[in-house]
Amino acid sequence: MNKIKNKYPPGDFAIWIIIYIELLTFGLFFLGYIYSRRADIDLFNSSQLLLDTRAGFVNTIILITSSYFVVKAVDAIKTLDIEEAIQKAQRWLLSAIGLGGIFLVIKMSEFIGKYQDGINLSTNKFFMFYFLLTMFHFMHVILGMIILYNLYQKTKLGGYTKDNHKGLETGASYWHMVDLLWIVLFPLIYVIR
Amino acid sequence: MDKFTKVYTALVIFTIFAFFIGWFKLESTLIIGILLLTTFFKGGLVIEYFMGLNSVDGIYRFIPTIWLITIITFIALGYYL
Repeated sequence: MNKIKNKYPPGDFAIWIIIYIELLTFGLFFLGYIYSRRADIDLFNSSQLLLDTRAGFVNTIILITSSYFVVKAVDAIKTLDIEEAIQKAQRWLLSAIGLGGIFLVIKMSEFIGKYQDGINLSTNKFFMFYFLLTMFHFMHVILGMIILYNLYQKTKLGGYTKDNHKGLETGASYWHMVDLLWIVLFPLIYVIR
Repeated sequence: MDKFTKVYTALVIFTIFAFFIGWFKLESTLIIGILLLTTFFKGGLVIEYFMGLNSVDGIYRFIPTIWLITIITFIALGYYL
């Protein structure tokens, strides 16, 4: 059976304009990284060895899990009866926010570790990109968590129902974009040599 | 297991694969090719199922996928050339 497709993506279309712009912006940063790496592969490879792959891996799992929790929250609102939906969705959202917080703590400890080792933005071109990309992404995680917290508050008050959940989908889409960006960032910065 | 849990499981498996490549510092051309392919699948799963674009028709569905293909292609070109 063919499902009827929507003309526009889930949530408010304005968030998708923002998402497309964000993807473009990060995309240009990624291209800058790739281009600069080509010019000095040895420097990029030796600098990459100073990164903690385990931290990058754990943070990837955390963001993916957090994104999954947000999907479950949206799905609960869309499919369950109101009482059960509110209860489950707010639990999923709170867990997603908690994971976002753990992501920030791990990333912050990585930043502090690097600064303590005397590594910063001006150390070399690799670390300039590393700090620029990951700090920029870090700020997006913070904004995403603020959005998720607002969604959580509104969910708690019964603001979203089966027929009215556009706001929830809007915030969720932003959070998934944050996840998508990290999915590319992790192999690019931490793994590929 | 619902479809979102299946997608999540696939994402975790691909991520573990990427971690092992990084952890063991594997550098072969084939391995990196597979890594890029799995990264593309991961991104595609997030775009299609988590972002819900599989229920959308037309250009708005494909913009993030085109973005992903472009980035992965450039990473591959940067690596192989």
